[in-house]
Amino acid sequence: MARKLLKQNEKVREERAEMTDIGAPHHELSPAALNRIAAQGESKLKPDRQIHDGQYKAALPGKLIRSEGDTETGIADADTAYDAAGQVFSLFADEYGRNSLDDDGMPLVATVHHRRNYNNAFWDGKQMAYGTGDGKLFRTFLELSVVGHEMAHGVIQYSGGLLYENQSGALNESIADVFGSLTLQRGLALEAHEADWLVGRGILGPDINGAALRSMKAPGTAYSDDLLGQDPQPWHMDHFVVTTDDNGGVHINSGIPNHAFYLFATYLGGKAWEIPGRIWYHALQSLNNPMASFSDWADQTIKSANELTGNGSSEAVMLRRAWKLVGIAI
Amino acid sequence: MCFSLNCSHHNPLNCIVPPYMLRVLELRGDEPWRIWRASY
Ligand SMILES: [Zn+2]
Repeated sequence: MARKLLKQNEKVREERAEMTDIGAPHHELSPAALNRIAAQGESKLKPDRQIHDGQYKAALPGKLIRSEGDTETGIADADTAYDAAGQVFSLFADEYGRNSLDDDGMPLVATVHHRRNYNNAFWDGKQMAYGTGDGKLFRTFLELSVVGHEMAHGVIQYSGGLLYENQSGALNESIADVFGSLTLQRGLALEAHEADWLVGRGILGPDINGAALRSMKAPGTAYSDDLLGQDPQPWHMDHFVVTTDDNGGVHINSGIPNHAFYLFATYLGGKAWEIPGRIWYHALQSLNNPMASFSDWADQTIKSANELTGNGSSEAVMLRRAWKLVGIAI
Repeated sequence: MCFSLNCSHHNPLNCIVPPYMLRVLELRGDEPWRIWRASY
Protein backbone atom coordinates (compact mmCIF):
# COMPACT_ATOMS: atom_id res chain seq x y z
CA MET A 1 0.00 0.00 0.00
CA ALA A 2 2.70 2.45 1.09
CA ARG A 3 4.85 1.44 -1.85
CA LYS A 4 1.94 1.89 -4.22
CA LEU A 5 1.27 5.34 -2.84
CA LEU A 6 4.92 6.23 -3.16
CA LYS A 7 4.93 5.10 -6.74
CA GLN A 8 1.85 7.15 -7.39
CA ASN A 9 3.45 10.21 -5.84
CA GLU A 10 6.50 9.73 -7.99
CA LYS A 11 4.34 9.58 -11.05
CA VAL A 12 2.57 12.76 -10.03
CA ARG A 13 5.86 14.54 -9.52
CA GLU A 14 7.00 13.51 -12.98
CA GLU A 15 3.75 14.65 -14.52
CA ARG A 16 3.87 17.90 -12.59
CA ALA A 17 7.42 18.51 -13.83
CA GLU A 18 6.11 17.90 -17.33
CA MET A 19 3.44 20.48 -16.68
CA THR A 20 5.93 23.27 -16.22
CA ASP A 21 7.19 22.73 -19.76
CA ILE A 22 4.15 24.33 -21.21
CA GLY A 23 4.60 27.44 -19.12
CA ALA A 24 2.23 29.30 -16.89
CA PRO A 25 -1.31 29.75 -18.15
CA HIS A 26 -1.91 33.19 -19.49
CA HIS A 27 -4.82 35.08 -18.09
CA GLU A 28 -4.44 37.65 -20.80
CA LEU A 29 -6.87 36.08 -23.22
CA SER A 30 -7.36 37.51 -26.67
CA PRO A 31 -10.39 39.79 -27.04
CA ALA A 32 -12.07 37.15 -29.20
CA ALA A 33 -11.52 34.50 -26.53
CA LEU A 34 -12.81 36.86 -23.87
CA ASN A 35 -15.94 37.43 -25.92
CA ARG A 36 -16.52 33.73 -26.26
CA ILE A 37 -16.33 33.15 -22.54
CA ALA A 38 -17.76 36.47 -21.39
CA ALA A 39 -19.85 36.26 -18.26
CA GLN A 40 -23.47 37.11 -18.70
CA GLY A 41 -22.88 39.99 -16.32
CA GLU A 42 -25.56 41.08 -13.87
CA SER A 43 -28.45 39.23 -15.46
CA LYS A 44 -32.02 40.30 -15.12
CA LEU A 45 -32.96 36.80 -14.07
CA LYS A 46 -34.55 36.57 -10.64
CA PRO A 47 -35.19 33.52 -8.45
CA ASP A 48 -38.58 32.39 -7.21
CA ARG A 49 -37.76 30.81 -3.88
CA GLN A 50 -40.31 28.83 -1.89
CA ILE A 51 -39.02 27.64 1.45
CA HIS A 52 -41.10 25.16 3.45
CA ASP A 53 -41.01 23.87 7.01
CA GLY A 54 -41.22 20.09 7.00
CA GLN A 55 -42.13 20.25 10.71
CA TYR A 56 -39.91 17.20 11.28
CA LYS A 57 -42.28 15.02 9.28
CA ALA A 58 -41.77 12.97 6.13
CA ALA A 59 -44.30 14.71 3.91
CA LEU A 60 -42.94 17.04 1.26
CA PRO A 61 -42.91 19.91 0.70
CA GLY A 62 -44.55 20.79 4.06
CA LYS A 63 -45.75 24.22 5.13
CA LEU A 64 -44.73 27.22 3.00
CA ILE A 65 -43.02 29.69 5.33
CA ARG A 66 -41.04 32.03 3.08
CA SER A 67 -41.79 33.00 -0.48
CA GLU A 68 -39.73 35.19 -2.77
CA GLY A 69 -39.37 38.69 -1.40
CA ASP A 70 -40.71 37.81 2.07
CA THR A 71 -38.80 39.05 5.12
CA GLU A 72 -36.86 36.69 7.34
CA THR A 73 -38.81 34.02 9.19
CA GLY A 74 -36.53 33.92 12.22
CA ILE A 75 -36.22 30.17 11.62
CA ALA A 76 -32.48 29.82 11.07
CA ASP A 77 -32.55 26.85 8.69
CA ALA A 78 -35.31 28.42 6.58
CA ASP A 79 -33.52 31.74 6.27
CA THR A 80 -30.22 30.06 5.44
CA ALA A 81 -31.95 27.88 2.82
CA TYR A 82 -33.48 31.02 1.30
CA ASP A 83 -30.20 32.94 1.16
CA ALA A 84 -28.20 29.98 -0.07
CA ALA A 85 -30.73 29.20 -2.83
CA GLY A 86 -30.35 32.82 -3.93
CA GLN A 87 -26.57 32.45 -4.16
CA VAL A 88 -26.82 29.25 -6.17
CA PHE A 89 -29.39 30.82 -8.50
CA SER A 90 -27.04 33.76 -8.97
CA LEU A 91 -24.06 31.55 -9.84
CA PHE A 92 -26.00 29.87 -12.64
CA ALA A 93 -27.83 33.02 -13.77
CA ASP A 94 -25.14 35.68 -13.55
CA GLU A 95 -22.14 33.54 -14.53
CA TYR A 96 -23.66 31.04 -16.96
CA GLY A 97 -26.87 32.73 -18.10
CA ARG A 98 -29.14 29.99 -16.79
CA ASN A 99 -32.65 30.85 -15.62
CA SER A 100 -33.12 28.50 -12.63
CA LEU A 101 -32.61 24.75 -12.48
CA ASP A 102 -34.60 24.03 -15.63
CA ASP A 103 -33.41 27.18 -17.45
CA ASP A 104 -37.06 28.14 -17.63
CA GLY A 105 -37.47 29.97 -14.35
CA MET A 106 -38.82 27.11 -12.27
CA PRO A 107 -39.45 27.90 -8.57
CA LEU A 108 -36.73 26.85 -6.14
CA VAL A 109 -38.67 24.66 -3.74
CA ALA A 110 -36.92 23.61 -0.56
CA THR A 111 -37.94 21.96 2.70
CA VAL A 112 -36.02 22.39 5.94
CA HIS A 113 -36.62 20.34 9.10
CA HIS A 114 -37.23 17.27 6.96
CA ARG A 115 -37.94 14.38 9.37
CA ARG A 116 -36.47 14.23 12.85
CA ASN A 117 -32.72 13.68 13.34
CA TYR A 118 -32.45 13.11 9.61
CA ASN A 119 -28.84 12.76 8.50
CA ASN A 120 -29.08 13.83 4.89
CA ALA A 121 -30.02 16.39 2.28
CA PHE A 122 -31.33 15.51 -1.15
CA TRP A 123 -32.78 16.58 -4.46
CA ASP A 124 -35.77 14.35 -5.19
CA GLY A 125 -36.23 15.32 -8.82
CA LYS A 126 -38.48 18.25 -7.97
CA GLN A 127 -37.21 19.93 -4.84
CA MET A 128 -34.47 20.16 -2.22
CA ALA A 129 -34.92 18.73 1.29
CA TYR A 130 -32.64 19.22 4.28
CA GLY A 131 -32.57 17.28 7.53
CA THR A 132 -31.25 18.85 10.70
CA GLY A 133 -28.79 16.03 11.39
CA ASP A 134 -28.89 14.00 14.59
CA GLY A 135 -26.33 16.24 16.30
CA LYS A 136 -23.90 13.33 16.59
CA LEU A 137 -22.96 12.34 13.06
CA PHE A 138 -24.12 15.60 11.50
CA ARG A 139 -24.91 18.96 13.02
CA THR A 140 -26.54 20.63 10.02
CA PHE A 141 -27.02 20.44 6.26
CA LEU A 142 -27.60 24.14 5.69
CA GLU A 143 -24.15 24.89 4.35
CA LEU A 144 -23.59 26.70 1.05
CA SER A 145 -21.65 23.97 -0.76
CA VAL A 146 -24.28 21.41 0.29
CA VAL A 147 -27.11 23.60 -0.99
CA GLY A 148 -25.17 24.22 -4.21
CA HIS A 149 -24.57 20.49 -4.55
CA GLU A 150 -28.26 19.62 -4.22
CA MET A 151 -29.41 22.34 -6.60
CA ALA A 152 -26.75 21.30 -9.11
CA HIS A 153 -28.42 17.86 -9.18
CA GLY A 154 -31.46 19.73 -10.44
CA VAL A 155 -29.42 21.49 -13.13
CA ILE A 156 -27.87 18.17 -14.18
CA GLN A 157 -31.30 16.54 -14.39
CA TYR A 158 -32.60 19.31 -16.66
CA SER A 159 -29.42 19.26 -18.76
CA GLY A 160 -30.05 15.76 -20.04
CA GLY A 161 -29.18 13.95 -16.82
CA LEU A 162 -26.50 11.50 -15.82
CA LEU A 163 -27.64 8.02 -14.77
CA TYR A 164 -27.12 7.75 -11.02
CA GLU A 165 -24.93 4.66 -10.97
CA ASN A 166 -21.34 3.69 -11.71
CA GLN A 167 -19.21 6.19 -13.68
CA SER A 168 -22.10 8.33 -14.94
CA GLY A 169 -23.41 8.47 -11.37
CA ALA A 170 -19.99 9.47 -10.05
CA LEU A 171 -19.92 12.21 -12.70
CA ASN A 172 -23.35 13.33 -11.51
CA GLU A 173 -21.97 13.51 -7.96
CA SER A 174 -18.76 15.19 -9.05
CA ILE A 175 -20.47 17.89 -11.12
CA ALA A 176 -22.76 18.54 -8.13
CA ASP A 177 -19.67 18.89 -5.90
CA VAL A 178 -17.98 21.18 -8.43
CA PHE A 179 -20.89 23.63 -8.58
CA GLY A 180 -21.43 23.32 -4.83
CA SER A 181 -17.84 24.30 -4.19
CA LEU A 182 -17.97 27.04 -6.84
CA THR A 183 -21.05 28.54 -5.17
CA LEU A 184 -19.12 28.73 -1.92
CA GLN A 185 -15.91 30.06 -3.50
CA ARG A 186 -17.88 32.75 -5.32
CA GLY A 187 -19.82 33.61 -2.16
CA LEU A 188 -16.55 34.10 -0.28
CA ALA A 189 -14.81 35.73 -3.26
CA LEU A 190 -11.93 33.25 -3.05
CA GLU A 191 -9.52 32.50 -5.85
CA ALA A 192 -8.70 28.87 -6.60
CA HIS A 193 -5.51 28.86 -4.54
CA GLU A 194 -7.26 30.43 -1.52
CA ALA A 195 -10.22 28.02 -1.43
CA ASP A 196 -10.21 24.91 0.77
CA TRP A 197 -12.07 22.85 -1.87
CA LEU A 198 -14.07 21.08 0.83
CA VAL A 199 -17.67 20.03 0.32
CA GLY A 200 -19.79 20.20 3.46
CA ARG A 201 -17.20 21.81 5.66
CA GLY A 202 -18.21 21.94 9.30
CA ILE A 203 -21.37 19.86 8.98
CA LEU A 204 -19.98 16.79 10.76
CA GLY A 205 -20.93 16.30 14.41
CA PRO A 206 -18.78 17.81 17.18
CA ASP A 207 -17.19 14.48 18.13
CA ILE A 208 -16.44 13.34 14.60
CA ASN A 209 -12.83 13.53 13.54
CA GLY A 210 -13.14 15.19 10.18
CA ALA A 211 -13.30 18.50 8.37
CA ALA A 212 -15.97 17.87 5.76
CA LEU A 213 -17.83 15.30 3.67
CA ARG A 214 -15.38 15.40 0.80
CA SER A 215 -12.19 17.11 -0.28
CA MET A 216 -11.64 17.96 -3.94
CA LYS A 217 -8.08 19.05 -3.25
CA ALA A 218 -7.15 15.82 -1.46
CA PRO A 219 -9.84 13.19 -1.98
CA GLY A 220 -9.73 10.56 0.76
CA THR A 221 -8.72 12.97 3.53
CA ALA A 222 -11.99 14.70 4.47
CA TYR A 223 -12.50 12.56 7.57
CA SER A 224 -10.96 9.70 9.49
CA ASP A 225 -13.09 8.65 12.39
CA ASP A 226 -13.76 5.62 14.59
CA LEU A 227 -17.46 5.85 13.90
CA LEU A 228 -17.45 6.99 10.25
CA GLY A 229 -14.31 5.21 9.17
CA GLN A 230 -11.96 6.64 6.59
CA ASP A 231 -12.98 8.82 3.66
CA PRO A 232 -12.81 6.25 0.82
CA GLN A 233 -12.42 8.64 -2.11
CA PRO A 234 -9.64 7.98 -4.63
CA TRP A 235 -8.09 10.76 -6.70
CA HIS A 236 -6.54 8.56 -9.41
CA MET A 237 -7.93 5.88 -11.74
CA ASP A 238 -5.40 3.41 -10.31
CA HIS A 239 -7.53 3.44 -7.16
CA PHE A 240 -10.95 3.42 -8.81
CA VAL A 241 -13.28 1.52 -6.45
CA VAL A 242 -15.39 -1.24 -7.96
CA THR A 243 -18.37 -1.84 -5.69
CA THR A 244 -22.12 -2.40 -5.75
CA ASP A 245 -22.46 -0.21 -2.66
CA ASP A 246 -23.50 3.43 -3.07
CA ASN A 247 -25.01 2.85 -6.54
CA GLY A 248 -21.63 1.64 -7.73
CA GLY A 249 -19.54 4.06 -5.70
CA VAL A 250 -21.07 7.29 -6.99
CA HIS A 251 -19.90 9.24 -3.92
CA ILE A 252 -16.56 7.42 -3.90
CA ASN A 253 -15.18 7.60 -7.42
CA SER A 254 -16.43 11.17 -7.82
CA GLY A 255 -13.11 11.98 -6.13
CA ILE A 256 -11.35 11.40 -9.47
CA PRO A 257 -13.19 13.97 -11.64
CA ASN A 258 -13.38 16.25 -8.58
CA HIS A 259 -9.61 16.26 -8.35
CA ALA A 260 -9.23 16.84 -12.09
CA PHE A 261 -11.36 19.97 -11.76
CA TYR A 262 -9.36 21.12 -8.76
CA LEU A 263 -6.06 20.63 -10.63
CA PHE A 264 -7.35 22.44 -13.70
CA ALA A 265 -8.68 25.39 -11.68
CA THR A 266 -5.52 25.76 -9.65
CA TYR A 267 -3.28 25.48 -12.73
CA LEU A 268 -5.21 28.34 -14.29
CA GLY A 269 -5.45 30.35 -11.10
CA GLY A 270 -8.02 33.07 -10.59
CA LYS A 271 -11.68 32.58 -9.92
CA ALA A 272 -12.61 28.97 -10.46
CA TRP A 273 -16.25 29.75 -11.20
CA GLU A 274 -15.21 31.81 -14.21
CA ILE A 275 -13.25 29.98 -16.92
CA PRO A 276 -13.17 26.48 -15.34
CA GLY A 277 -16.80 26.75 -14.21
CA ARG A 278 -17.93 27.96 -17.62
CA ILE A 279 -16.09 25.13 -19.32
CA TRP A 280 -17.73 22.57 -17.00
CA TYR A 281 -21.14 24.17 -17.43
CA HIS A 282 -20.82 24.30 -21.21
CA ALA A 283 -19.66 20.67 -21.27
CA LEU A 284 -22.71 19.66 -19.24
CA GLN A 285 -25.01 21.47 -21.68
CA SER A 286 -23.45 19.79 -24.70
CA LEU A 287 -22.79 16.30 -23.28
CA ASN A 288 -26.04 14.66 -24.38
CA ASN A 289 -25.09 11.27 -22.95
CA PRO A 290 -26.74 10.15 -19.69
CA MET A 291 -24.46 7.12 -19.55
CA ALA A 292 -21.21 9.04 -20.03
CA SER A 293 -18.02 7.50 -18.66
CA PHE A 294 -15.21 9.51 -17.10
CA SER A 295 -13.35 9.62 -20.42
CA ASP A 296 -16.49 10.68 -22.30
CA TRP A 297 -16.82 13.54 -19.85
CA ALA A 298 -13.13 14.43 -20.00
CA ASP A 299 -13.48 14.55 -23.80
CA GLN A 300 -16.47 16.82 -23.55
CA THR A 301 -14.69 19.21 -21.19
CA ILE A 302 -11.76 19.44 -23.64
CA LYS A 303 -14.15 20.14 -26.52
CA SER A 304 -15.79 22.75 -24.38
CA ALA A 305 -12.42 24.33 -23.52
CA ASN A 306 -11.47 24.39 -27.21
CA GLU A 307 -14.76 26.06 -28.05
CA LEU A 308 -14.62 28.63 -25.29
CA THR A 309 -10.93 29.45 -25.14
CA GLY A 310 -9.76 28.50 -28.62
CA ASN A 311 -8.27 25.36 -30.14
CA GLY A 312 -4.97 24.51 -28.53
CA SER A 313 -5.34 27.28 -25.95
CA SER A 314 -3.22 26.95 -22.83
CA GLU A 315 -6.49 26.29 -20.98
CA ALA A 316 -7.21 23.28 -23.17
CA VAL A 317 -3.64 22.05 -22.73
CA MET A 318 -3.84 22.47 -18.94
CA LEU A 319 -7.12 20.65 -18.84
CA ARG A 320 -5.72 17.71 -20.75
CA ARG A 321 -2.85 17.59 -18.27
CA ALA A 322 -5.25 17.67 -15.33
CA TRP A 323 -7.15 14.68 -16.70
CA LYS A 324 -3.89 12.87 -17.37
CA LEU A 325 -2.77 13.45 -13.78
CA VAL A 326 -5.81 11.61 -12.45
CA GLY A 327 -5.18 8.76 -14.88
CA ILE A 328 -7.54 9.68 -17.70
CA ALA A 329 -5.73 10.04 -20.99
CA ILE A 330 -7.55 11.88 -23.73
CA MET B 1 -37.00 7.20 -0.43
CA CYS B 2 -33.44 8.05 0.20
CA PHE B 3 -30.97 5.26 0.82
CA SER B 4 -31.92 1.68 1.44
CA LEU B 5 -29.45 -0.92 2.59
CA ASN B 6 -31.30 -3.55 0.63
CA CYS B 7 -31.50 -1.69 -2.60
CA SER B 8 -28.29 0.05 -3.43
CA HIS B 9 -29.15 0.80 -7.02
CA HIS B 10 -31.86 2.54 -9.03
CA ASN B 11 -32.05 5.13 -6.34
CA PRO B 12 -34.17 7.98 -7.66
CA LEU B 13 -32.75 10.42 -5.16
CA ASN B 14 -29.54 12.36 -5.06
CA CYS B 15 -28.44 12.44 -1.43
CA ILE B 16 -25.34 14.24 -0.27
CA VAL B 17 -24.42 11.68 2.40
CA PRO B 18 -23.56 8.26 0.99
CA PRO B 19 -24.99 5.10 2.56
CA TYR B 20 -21.63 3.83 3.78
CA MET B 21 -21.30 6.83 6.09
CA LEU B 22 -24.69 6.14 7.64
CA ARG B 23 -24.47 2.39 7.93
CA VAL B 24 -22.74 2.74 11.27
CA LEU B 25 -25.97 4.00 12.76
CA GLU B 26 -27.83 0.86 11.81
CA LEU B 27 -25.03 -1.33 13.12
CA ARG B 28 -25.31 0.61 16.34
CA GLY B 29 -29.08 0.13 16.40
CA ASP B 30 -30.05 3.75 15.92
CA GLU B 31 -33.45 3.43 14.32
CA PRO B 32 -32.31 3.11 10.72
CA TRP B 33 -35.71 3.97 9.28
CA ARG B 34 -35.04 7.54 10.27
CA ILE B 35 -32.02 7.58 8.11
CA TRP B 36 -32.88 5.46 5.11
CA ARG B 37 -36.51 4.67 4.85
CA ALA B 38 -37.87 8.05 4.07
CA SER B 39 -41.00 7.30 2.08
CA TYR B 40 -43.28 10.11 1.13
ZN1 LIG C 1 -25.35 14.33 -4.50
